[in-house]
Amino acid sequence: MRKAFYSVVVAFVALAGLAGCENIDCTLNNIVLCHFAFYDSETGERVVLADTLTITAEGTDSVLLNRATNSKEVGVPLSYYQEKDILNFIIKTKDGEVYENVVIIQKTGQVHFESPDCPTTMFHNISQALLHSGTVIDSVAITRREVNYLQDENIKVFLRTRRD
Amino acid sequence: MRISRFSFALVGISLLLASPMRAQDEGERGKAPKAPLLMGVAVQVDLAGPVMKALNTKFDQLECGARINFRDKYFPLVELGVGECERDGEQNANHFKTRAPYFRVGMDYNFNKKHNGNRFFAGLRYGFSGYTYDFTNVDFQDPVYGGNTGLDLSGQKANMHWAEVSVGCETKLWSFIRLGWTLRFKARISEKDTPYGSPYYVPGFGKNGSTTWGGTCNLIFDIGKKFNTQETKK
Repeated sequence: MRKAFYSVVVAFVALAGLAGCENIDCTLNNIVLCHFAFYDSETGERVVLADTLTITAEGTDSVLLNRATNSKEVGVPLSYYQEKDILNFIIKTKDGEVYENVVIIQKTGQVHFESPDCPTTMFHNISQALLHSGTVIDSVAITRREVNYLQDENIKVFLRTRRD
Repeated sequence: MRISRFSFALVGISLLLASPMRAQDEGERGKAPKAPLLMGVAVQVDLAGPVMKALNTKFDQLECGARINFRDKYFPLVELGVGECERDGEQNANHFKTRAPYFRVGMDYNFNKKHNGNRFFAGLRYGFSGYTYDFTNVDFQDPVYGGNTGLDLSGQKANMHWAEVSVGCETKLWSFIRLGWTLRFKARISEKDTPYGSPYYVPGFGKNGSTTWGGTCNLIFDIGKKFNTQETKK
């Protein structure tokens, strides 16, 4: 009787310990970026953009990507609340020539949360991707509409091999 | 992690304490007579919930239940409770809050063949909770484009069905009053979430996930017929 009572009390303490025990499991890769990958417009094969690439956007003074070279794929944050983002791909060649290419991304936002301890963020669903103007970029195509924690390609960027 | 290992060690010790007592009882009293079909009913309250609430843990529940005793072996039961959780993010302005009822139905099986006041259970339960929760963040803002609109996802509706496998024991304290505990492994069967994500806590289930652990410490009031080996021998 006494032993049984003690066993119940010990177990009670153990259960209280279990209840107070917790570890935080937030997603390690918790950055949401729209991933652009570069392709040759004639062959359709994946290419490396050897020129210097800078990406800016309307609506923010921040530079989204600053002077990246030898890029095969780049990730860019999209806005939380704008219906469309106007991205300016500024490509500077080794000869010093600068080409501006404007890509418009239309999308909807979706708030995403996990635990209260984890950062709350915004996922996106891309409805349309358009090339507004460009000399180096020939066209763009959506490959994955969901912009979330995954680091897979969202948009194919086809580059012109000849720039007239 | 250390706390978790410590807790499991304590549970193990408590089982060891209980085992010799059972062996002793069996040795002294021999084979038990057959128990009647209906041996009464019992109501129970979980003492762990109020203690968790008093200690201001991350979530807690207030729970009671009722069960029927068939042959001192089969215990179909129902458990009703209210689970609540109010939690702020440690390094951000996230705020999560829910308070909702839940229920479980299932059955315990008593492995102790002697009717000596001690019971050793294994059990299965089905649980359900339909609940609403609030998730807010007043500092939610676009880190690149700016603009602070805050985030207010109040009144989000969700539900969960889950199953529980439990082990436990209980002993007679005095007359019709008993004390016992259960340790439970809980597995999600299905869940209806909002498109925004999974809530942190599900009433009755615990911290949200595909599986989790839980437990109760029950104060039990046995009502109805009395039956034990000692009385029968006299």
